[in-house]
Amino acid sequence: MNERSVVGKPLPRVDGKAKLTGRAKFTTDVMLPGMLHAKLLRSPLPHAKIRSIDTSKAEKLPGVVAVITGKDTWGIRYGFVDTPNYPAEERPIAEDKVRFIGETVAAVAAIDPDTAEDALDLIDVDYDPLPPVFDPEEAMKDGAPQIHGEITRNTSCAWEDWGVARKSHSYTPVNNVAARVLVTYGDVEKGFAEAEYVREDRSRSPGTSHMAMEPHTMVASWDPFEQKLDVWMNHMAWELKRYWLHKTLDIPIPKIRIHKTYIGGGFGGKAPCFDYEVICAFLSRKLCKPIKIELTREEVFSSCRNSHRFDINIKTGVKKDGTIVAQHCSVIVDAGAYKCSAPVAMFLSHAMCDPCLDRKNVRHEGVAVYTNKNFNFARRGHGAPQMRLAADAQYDQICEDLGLDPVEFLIKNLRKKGDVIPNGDRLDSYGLPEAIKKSAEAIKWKEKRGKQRDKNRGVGIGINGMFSGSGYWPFASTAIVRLNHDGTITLMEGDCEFGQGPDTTYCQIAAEALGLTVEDVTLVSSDSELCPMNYSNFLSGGMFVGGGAVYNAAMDLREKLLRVASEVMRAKPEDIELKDKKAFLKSNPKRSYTFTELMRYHIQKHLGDPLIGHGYKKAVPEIEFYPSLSKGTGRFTDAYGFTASTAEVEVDRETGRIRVLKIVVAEDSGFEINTAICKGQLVSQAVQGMSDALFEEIMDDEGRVLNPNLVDYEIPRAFDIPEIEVIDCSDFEPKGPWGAKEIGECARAAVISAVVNAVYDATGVRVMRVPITPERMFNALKAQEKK
Amino acid sequence: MKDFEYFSAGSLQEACSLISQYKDVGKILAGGQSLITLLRQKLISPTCLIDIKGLKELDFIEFDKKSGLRIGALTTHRAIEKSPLIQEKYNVLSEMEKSVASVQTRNWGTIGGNLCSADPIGDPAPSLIVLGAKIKLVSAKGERVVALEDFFTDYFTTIIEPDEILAEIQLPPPAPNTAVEYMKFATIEAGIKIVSTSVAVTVEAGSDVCKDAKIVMSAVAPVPLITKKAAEMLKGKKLTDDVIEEAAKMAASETDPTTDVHASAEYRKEIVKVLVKRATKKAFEKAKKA
Repeated sequence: MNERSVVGKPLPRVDGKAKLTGRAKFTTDVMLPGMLHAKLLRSPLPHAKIRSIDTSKAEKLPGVVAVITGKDTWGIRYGFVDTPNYPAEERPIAEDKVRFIGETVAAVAAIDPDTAEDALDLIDVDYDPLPPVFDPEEAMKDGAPQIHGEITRNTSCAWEDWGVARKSHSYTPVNNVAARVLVTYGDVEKGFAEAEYVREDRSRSPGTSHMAMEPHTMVASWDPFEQKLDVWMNHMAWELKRYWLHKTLDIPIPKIRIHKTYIGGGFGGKAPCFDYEVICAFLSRKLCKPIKIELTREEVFSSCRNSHRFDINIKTGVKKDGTIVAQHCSVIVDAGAYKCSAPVAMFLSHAMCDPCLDRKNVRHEGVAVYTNKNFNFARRGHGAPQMRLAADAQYDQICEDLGLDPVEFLIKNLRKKGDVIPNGDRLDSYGLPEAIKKSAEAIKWKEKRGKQRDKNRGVGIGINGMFSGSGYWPFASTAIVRLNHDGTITLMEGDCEFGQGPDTTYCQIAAEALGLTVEDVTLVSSDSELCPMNYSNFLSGGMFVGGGAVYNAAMDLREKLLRVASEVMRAKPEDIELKDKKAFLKSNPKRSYTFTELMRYHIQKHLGDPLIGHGYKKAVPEIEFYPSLSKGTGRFTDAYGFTASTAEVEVDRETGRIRVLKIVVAEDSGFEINTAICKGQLVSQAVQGMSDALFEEIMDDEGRVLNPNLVDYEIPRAFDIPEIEVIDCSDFEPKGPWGAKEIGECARAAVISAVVNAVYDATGVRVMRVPITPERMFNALKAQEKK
Repeated sequence: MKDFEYFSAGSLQEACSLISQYKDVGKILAGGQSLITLLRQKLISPTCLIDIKGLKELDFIEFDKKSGLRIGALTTHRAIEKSPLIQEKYNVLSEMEKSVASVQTRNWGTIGGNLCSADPIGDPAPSLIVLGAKIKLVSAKGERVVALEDFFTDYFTTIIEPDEILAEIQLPPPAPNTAVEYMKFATIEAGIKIVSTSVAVTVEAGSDVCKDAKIVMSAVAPVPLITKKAAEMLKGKKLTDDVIEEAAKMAASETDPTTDVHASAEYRKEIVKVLVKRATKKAFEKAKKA
């Protein structure tokens, strides 16, 4: 098994044909007999009491079947963070109060989407406006409008179900603070006292949209006789969605089936529970009819989760040679109207930084603040891109101030392979040093850095580290590999295909273990009724945890096959090899038995056991429940992926327009199972990172999104994309399937920093607020000229 | 989108009679690249749409040495961009079309539809105005020809009567010793433009004195803006860097842009200076060689 024949290759995607020919079934393609369509009425006010809602006119419109309001769903609560300290406060429909423009206040089910939409205009809502607050720093001040009163534990109390001993308790946010985090290690005061140079900077990253190609969509179909709910939906882990539907609507878990559909992109934006999902299922059960809800792009912008706006104050102390001795980060997260994942985001902004560089003495404090705006969730990096921009741009400036080279600065402060970082995670694989060196070489760092300002060109570097699944309870996965009569296998695992490639890579993992080809694998995936437990499809845990479970299941079957073969062939298992659906002696390949023969033998001799492989994997075996988000203590992940990125840009000083000439992404994602899919992931992150650095920002005025469409929220198209070079700097991860770990989320942050730092190199002007639009650059250049 | 009645006209004559019948509640659908968006966003809700996209008689590009160029209103952006005739004689139009939205939009969107939607950020209008374009409007009652620069009256508003259809665009033969340059500034390629300008420069034969100039801007006013004072400053002068720079500043002072999510009014004025300067220089260099 030393030579790999299936993994490590750029094999075509197993879903490629279906997607290329348009046969792949997405949720929007699901049409059921008698299906109704629902549309949601959304609040036009950022903060208001609801006095009354009159739905009578809407109900009378021909074609309307039902209108529901908060009265129908009163008391239902859910949330992404739903812990004893932080009970959930999201609700499917606003009850007595709206907290952001776009919050759902009513839903209409009708015979077609247009009728439902027309009916929305006929609903009269009597609002009593309340003073709103939009800026997190304003919201924290005494006397600011309070967005939430007492948050009580209602229907949802997820963790108690899983055996967490402590009961949830009600709490009332003070000064709109949704959550706080404080992580410290070392002695920060002492560190700063020893520092020979200290710098303090502020950065801001805006809220952005995940920009998945497919807007959020769901179809729910309630069978009143079976008392069962069938669901087709956008998700990134059906296990979570099924659990939320179970809790919010009190439907037993086995009576909810989430069917496999393809999903048109996630990037984090489809993982949490959404109002429309609860409403869709609620309406279907109420009416005993299938219901479809398809959100528009505008709704995705203004009512679905975006990425968090971060304001970061970062203070770093270094020795004159560039050795970091202390760092103090203060992070303000604009949570929006509900906290959702904000407590996680500000913790992760620390946790993803920690495996990269050794900062010795660290204090990382964060506060997540409620504001009267749409609320947020993870987007590819979940806190890391915002934090890395602050850190990497500051390191770049420190180097400028002290006359150091940024690449050498990073190398000087690296951790070492095998290091145990302060929370207890061990860096068994650590390809970051090589990635930094190779990305610098590829952009011709030595020849170019600081030497092209006369041409308005510059190069920059950024880095990042990212977990491979985390201790988020119960972050674990299971897989089953069935041997079929013809010697092929059926792989059953739960991960869903939203473009990231598990359907293909997991088949490769299983095929490799058994000497088969991808064509020999029949895949059953992403169906809650057919697949075993699966929680691995987010937090970058797909490959390491989900793929790991597949690996373990395939190895389990492999061992079983070898044991039977050894029994039949009277040879030691280690002398037998599996290939082409046969077991044979390594020393004499002609002496072989087919898998079919082995299976027949095993059924005959071993009480009918047809040989099934079973495997499972937990993200962090050592932790019982989950790490402390508020203190940052406890193991977090078993393996980190790493990226170093460099970029070259050219700046038009007259207009401020920035053109990216080249992006290099050097990535350590462990052994690459499918090199083409890995490359695709990295190219896509390079594009997203560049777009974050230069273009993307959700703009709002008094809580209203000003650019909720693809005309006004501009993203790069094919001809805006520069040369992108991807370099594989993989370090074999001993705990990963075939040595693989995280890919797909890490690089984005590194690319943002690389582009921003390259802009400085080209102009001598430091902009620590992204996106660096032409106008922002122009104004910064003008300010420099005035100096 | 609200429901509407849909008619597909078989001929220009039929289209004219349909629109005269439904002029109060109907809209003409050409390529639909702007109209469908407005319908989806419920910014307009006509109860009847008259689809003229299939009318072959309005899809042509014809050139005559004496009378010049005629482009049918239903000619697609892509057809104009790719036309060898236009590339040879009115190259600026082909270059301008390359920057109109995306290939997909250019394949379906029509030049007439673009002008009639009268979006102040539209690409074609400035270059067509600079080239001296006229347009032919037809209705059941007859037809009239007006200068394109008189066509636009306000944001998304033109002088077109509810029962009229834009049939063709007419351009005079290319002027001698003249070059036209189009420049567009947007955050991303083919993105929503922040400013664009089209500049025509005519030089005295055999000299580098500017005989005539015309500068038209878009996205800086409710309608395509002709910056006359700036153009006057170029006429009769050798176009040194200083002269051009002064004219560019004048052009900026003639504009009245607004602030939106893409750029502030102040920034737009700054970009006007840069674009007018660059486009004038380039047009001047080309005109000397023409």
